Amino acid sequence: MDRAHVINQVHEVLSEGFEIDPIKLMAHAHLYHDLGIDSLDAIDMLVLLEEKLGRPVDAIQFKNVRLLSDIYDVIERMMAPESAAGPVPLEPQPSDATP
Amino acid sequence: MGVISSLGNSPRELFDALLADRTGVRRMDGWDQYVGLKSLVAAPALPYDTESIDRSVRRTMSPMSAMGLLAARQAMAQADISCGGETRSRMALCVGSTTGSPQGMNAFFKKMLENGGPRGQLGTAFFRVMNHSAAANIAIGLGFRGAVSAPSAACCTATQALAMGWEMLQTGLYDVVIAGGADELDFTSASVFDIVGAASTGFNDSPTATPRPFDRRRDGLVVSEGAGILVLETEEHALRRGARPLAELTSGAYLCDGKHMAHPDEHATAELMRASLARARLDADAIDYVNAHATATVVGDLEEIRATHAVFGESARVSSLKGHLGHPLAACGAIETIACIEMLHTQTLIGTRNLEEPDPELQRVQLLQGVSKARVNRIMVNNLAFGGISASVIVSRLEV
Repeated sequence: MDRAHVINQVHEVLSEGFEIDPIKLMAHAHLYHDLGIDSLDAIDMLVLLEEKLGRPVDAIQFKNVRLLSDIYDVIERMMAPESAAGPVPLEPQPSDATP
Repeated sequence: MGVISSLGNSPRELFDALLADRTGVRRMDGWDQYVGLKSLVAAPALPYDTESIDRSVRRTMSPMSAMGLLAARQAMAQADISCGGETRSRMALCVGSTTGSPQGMNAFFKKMLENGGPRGQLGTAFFRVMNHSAAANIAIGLGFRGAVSAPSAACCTATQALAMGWEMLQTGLYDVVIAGGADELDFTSASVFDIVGAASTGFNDSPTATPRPFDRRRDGLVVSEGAGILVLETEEHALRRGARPLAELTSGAYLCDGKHMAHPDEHATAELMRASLARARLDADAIDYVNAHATATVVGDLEEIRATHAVFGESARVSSLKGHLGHPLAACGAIETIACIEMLHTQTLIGTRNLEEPDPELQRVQLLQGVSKARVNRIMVNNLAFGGISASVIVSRLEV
């Protein structure tokens, strides 16, 4: 999957799943400050990304993402041929949600 | 007052529809696909605007919470009162539903079964299905920082919330209680009543002719949805801030019969009505009209009328609004109370829709048909629920 395709898939998830105006979807956009994606949204974002990509995503790899471009990078690495040998086990997504 | 319902999305729209004898009931597209479901009629809410709710709030909302928030906003605007900002230690929000979102539960367990586990579940899903979803979502939608509670007593939930609100104000601990109920339509709700033989099944091809409270041909209830919210306030607090009250909430009471989950009991229902009168320090003859729960089940209507007769005698004027509204479950008591406050304002009584041939067994009281002008100062609103629980409130004209 080339980077343009990754970007397209990520933008579809964010605009359809989180009603974010596509014009705001810039590589340097901060997920929380610019796009309003908080910890609860981040959990759902990974679920929707899994659906969109058609394969499990490793939540741990998203632990340090801050910018939209960080997401592109993680997914690009995930989708690289050497990562496609098998599904990566899912880990719980870090969250500040408490019971 | 605020309302979202099958007949109107404001108190005025609701009451105009009642005056015009309209019904929200229709045959539901697609319900014939559900194996074993015999009741194919329901009364969905009129379209309402969820776009006015910010996504960060809406993401955890099912329809019941969205309807509840919209109704709460109406009520807060009419009362000209705000609740955002600082902590409100003397304000409470008391709003319930029958369960968490049935639509959300269906989606949650469907995915769980399909995927063999939690994979693919959205993190926001749980916040739609938890029992206090409506109350919590409304509070967050309003920015309310105060006491929140979520009573749940099926079909008398909203009435119980109003009665609890009345009690909270009586304690002197609170000045304002935002109270009511909300529920959303789903085939599973209809299924519950279908399974126990309480849903209307004989009018699928003539849906506007059902439900038929008190009628000889009544064959059960028709599920609906909606939200009703009222801002309750102590007289002192209302006067201090120059508010314009719409009516007095004179009493509130709720009781469990301690006997049976599903079979209403005339004696317990009569005790409820007497308790409601006693809390208002009123005699039965002070009530000008009784707004009955009367969902059009054979047994429920009979037991309720026997109880009403036992308390009020033959002269009691009684009707049910379920023939117009359907049964909006946890929301019904608040929606009906709002309609009754409009009756007080207009000195008009709304009779029971679809009551064409009163059941002779029920002609122990005056069963109202059509719209009539009347001197109406005090109204009792009663609702009965699974679990043997019933609730009652009395609303009065302010001039009384």
